[in-house]
Amino acid sequence: MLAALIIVFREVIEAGIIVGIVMAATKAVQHRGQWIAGGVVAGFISACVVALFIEVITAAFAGMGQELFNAMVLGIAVIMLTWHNVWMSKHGREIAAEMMAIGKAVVTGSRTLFALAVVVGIAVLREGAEVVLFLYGIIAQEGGANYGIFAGGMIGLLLGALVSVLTYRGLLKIPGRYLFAVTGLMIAFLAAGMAAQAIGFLEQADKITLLNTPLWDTSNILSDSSLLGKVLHTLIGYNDRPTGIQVIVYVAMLVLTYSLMKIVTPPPLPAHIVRR
Amino acid sequence: MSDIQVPSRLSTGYVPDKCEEAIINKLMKIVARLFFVGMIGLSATPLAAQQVSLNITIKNKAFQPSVLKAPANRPITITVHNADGVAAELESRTMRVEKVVAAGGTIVVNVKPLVPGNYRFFDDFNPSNQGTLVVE
Repeated sequence: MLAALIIVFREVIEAGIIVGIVMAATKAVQHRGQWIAGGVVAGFISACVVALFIEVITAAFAGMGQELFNAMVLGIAVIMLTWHNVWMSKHGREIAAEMMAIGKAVVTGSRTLFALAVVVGIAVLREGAEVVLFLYGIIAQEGGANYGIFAGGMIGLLLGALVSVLTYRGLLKIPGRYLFAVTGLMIAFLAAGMAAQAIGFLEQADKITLLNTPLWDTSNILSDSSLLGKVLHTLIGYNDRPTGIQVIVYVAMLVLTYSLMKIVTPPPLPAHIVRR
Repeated sequence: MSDIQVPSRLSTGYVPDKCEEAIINKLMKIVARLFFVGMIGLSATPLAAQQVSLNITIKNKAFQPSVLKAPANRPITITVHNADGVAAELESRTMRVEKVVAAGGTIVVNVKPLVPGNYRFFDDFNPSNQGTLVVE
């Protein structure tokens, strides 16, 4: 039972953290609850579909379907996260002003809710498909289902949800005026890490063979499959054996996001307007 | 009629001056060089060494064989067939592999050329099922 709990918890921890960050990044935006819940539900349904058709996906693209599917959904998530950040740097001031004026839920920010709901859905889908396969395997076992093990898996799922709550609560401790700056930074690192991970899948599928030797190996110091390593993997894309091209894409993503955010940020208002 | 001059280069009437022309030429040269370097990089990478193929079967929740051998510095493909009725996930931290094998399904994984050593792999859905790839 404990083994199943650990297996499931390890799978869902990443999705848990992402949901927590997205909740904090959309604080005070109207209808965000429905959108994020919708993302989770859509992600879960997609996970079941993927689990059901796992053999078809595996066989696609000359046996490299799983890798290419993972690379594709990660790529979509990277685009959505980056778009959210760029949009926020363009409209951040309006949102802040609107929040100040009416004191609570704002309408302006709801435009990026779709993008973030997609990100949540993808996070749940990627981790969820494995959990569904694992739990289904326990129920469908020859010689009868082992409900003790199944219960362990369910507790693992609940702990994953707890990670979301803790991440969210923790981020809300940040003073209001810094909150969006912090979540924006976290989302930028999240996107860079996911981009590097997508490259990793393309390398496994032999689609990228350029600069594919590991640049360093820190698996003795901090393995990226340990609990702390996994959390850091989600938050900043920590990888204990990244290849050259992964590091390049990671850095390029951060630079690109920063540049795009800088370009679209409206110039500061003239001092005499601000003072008035 | 005869005094209408048609610009020699473009119908828009835009004629780059000497300085602009020099800049454009320089840019074209840089693009061409980047493209050339990229092509060399792409063509020189694979085809280095001959591929090694290995086969594993998962049966009764165990890898068969659980110890495999492969030569060093050659790309490896491992074909894993899952003969059991439940899904498995082949995972190896050192070989950078993580791939689901459906019940009764088969997967192929690519492993980059490895230096000599022992490389552990396991079933992530059933971590007590473990194996080793010995690279010599």
